[in-house]
Amino acid sequence: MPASRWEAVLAGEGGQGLVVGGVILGEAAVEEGLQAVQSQWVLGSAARGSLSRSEVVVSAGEIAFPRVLRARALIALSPEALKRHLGLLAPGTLVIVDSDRVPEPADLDPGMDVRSLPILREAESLGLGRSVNVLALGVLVGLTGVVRPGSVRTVLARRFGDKAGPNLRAFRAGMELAAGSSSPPSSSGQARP
Amino acid sequence: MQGNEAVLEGALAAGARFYAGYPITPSSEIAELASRRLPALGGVFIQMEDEIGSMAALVGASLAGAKAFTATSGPGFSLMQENIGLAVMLETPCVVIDVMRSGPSTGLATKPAQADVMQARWGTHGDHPAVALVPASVSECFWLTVAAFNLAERMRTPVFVLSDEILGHMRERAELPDADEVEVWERPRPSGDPEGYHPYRPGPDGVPPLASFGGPYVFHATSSMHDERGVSANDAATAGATIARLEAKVENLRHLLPSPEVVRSGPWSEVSGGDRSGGRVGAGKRSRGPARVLLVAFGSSARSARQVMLDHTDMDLTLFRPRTLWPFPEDELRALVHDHDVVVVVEMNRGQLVREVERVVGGGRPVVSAAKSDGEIITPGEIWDSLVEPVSGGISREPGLSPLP
Repeated sequence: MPASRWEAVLAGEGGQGLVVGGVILGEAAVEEGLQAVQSQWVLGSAARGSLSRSEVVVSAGEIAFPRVLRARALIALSPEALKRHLGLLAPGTLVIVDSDRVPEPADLDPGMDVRSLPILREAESLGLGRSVNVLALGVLVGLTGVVRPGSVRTVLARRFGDKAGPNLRAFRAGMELAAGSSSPPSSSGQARP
Repeated sequence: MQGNEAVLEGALAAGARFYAGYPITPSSEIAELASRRLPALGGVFIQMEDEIGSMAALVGASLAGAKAFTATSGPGFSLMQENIGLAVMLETPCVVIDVMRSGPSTGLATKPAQADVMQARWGTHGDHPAVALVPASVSECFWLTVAAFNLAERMRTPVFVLSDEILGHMRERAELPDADEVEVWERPRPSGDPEGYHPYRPGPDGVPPLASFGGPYVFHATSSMHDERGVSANDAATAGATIARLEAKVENLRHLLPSPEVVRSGPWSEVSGGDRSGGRVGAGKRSRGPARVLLVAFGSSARSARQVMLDHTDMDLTLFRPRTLWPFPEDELRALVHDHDVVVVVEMNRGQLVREVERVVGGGRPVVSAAKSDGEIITPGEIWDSLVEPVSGGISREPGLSPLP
């Protein structure tokens, strides 16, 4: 396994739980013996309703610089979440956007691997609105394989205990959404670090 | 685990049982966790009216025998300075965690900086010692907080931990020890007849034994100059000796301070295995190579500097990372300077530590400042840009310098 860095940004609105989503991803990586660093940008009045961001760096080797410079994957559950992070994207970056909330980003580099999926609608329809973060994480893990699904399930069970059920269901729903994703599979966002 | 969480765990492991503070971003998680954890341990958590009162409460709690601490950020650290001086003068052990953010004043409340370097050294007035530890990882947030309490107790002086917004809010893998695996030091205590107790009569290393208020050892504590009994005294001999001793006790115990980390990378590390004498051999074999760069960085800036080394393994780079910022590890830095061609100081401020480094280097090598002060983390690319000119621009001990690859 190469020691290269794998960097991702999970962004949306405060209250969607994406900071915790990033924490779960990082903990799942650590579960596999990898190194992971998570940081967040969600403070004060931004905590509810405005932009919220979780940055995750995963590597088999030492992680020195803790922040994201070139995202291999971005989750954007709000228009602002996409707009604010365009500078972190590179050709081949996997860009997962909510198909209802985020309009087709016209100015996005054609080299991006964009997947527009009904993440929020899916969560609501399953009665899992409060687990939309974990559903989005399921999409990310399903499309990239950055960590094994079992590692995420282990972290969910540990973190939520006997309340883990909805989150485990949300994670599976996200994985299924990823599997049914219509875009051609891409090698770009994939590959474990 | 988050950096701020690790600080709290370190404090509890070191035996801290008293917290007085006023919450402030980006340190508030420490207060929040302390408020939950301390009562369960029989400790005390007080949310004070402000940071001035917080620091005063620490001094009182410490005199009563508790291991006391607070957490704040730049604006609160400013307000604490008066009573930090009181803690120095009364020789009361206590720990102040400063999770640095961008200033001046309330500045950028949610953004990182390392601009309290000189506030930690000279924020309170008068001649005084300063002890400041600087973690660079979540794991070190734990261990250096433990060390801060141990040093405060052992030296009878306030000790600072300078973290920053990046480190405080960052989560990474950190394996914490069991409580019984942590070495915990206690303050020197008096023994013998309480009548003969002198609260400011120094022990062999300059540190006087400290009794707790409320016990049989009754003593007077005053912020004014005092003699060994704690009684006010204005004579020059007492004042001169006391001011000198306050600094000398820290110097006497300098060997207890956490030592700097030195990491070498690049061709010479392969030749030498990274040790100093081998480094010279490696450098000698490559007399026409690019300059050998000594990076000096602490805290989260050191992580950016380390990333430069990981990204440019073909360069001879050394990272000198102080874990103790004050007193500055000058002998350790001086020992490294001679087999480097240029010293680059990386910090998130307008250039505070670079002046101390210049003093230590003493003109023997060029010292370059890679400083940044806009509320954003300094990136490996920005550090690299600041290296390019000195490395390729003719600063080299050897002629025929190669340009950068």
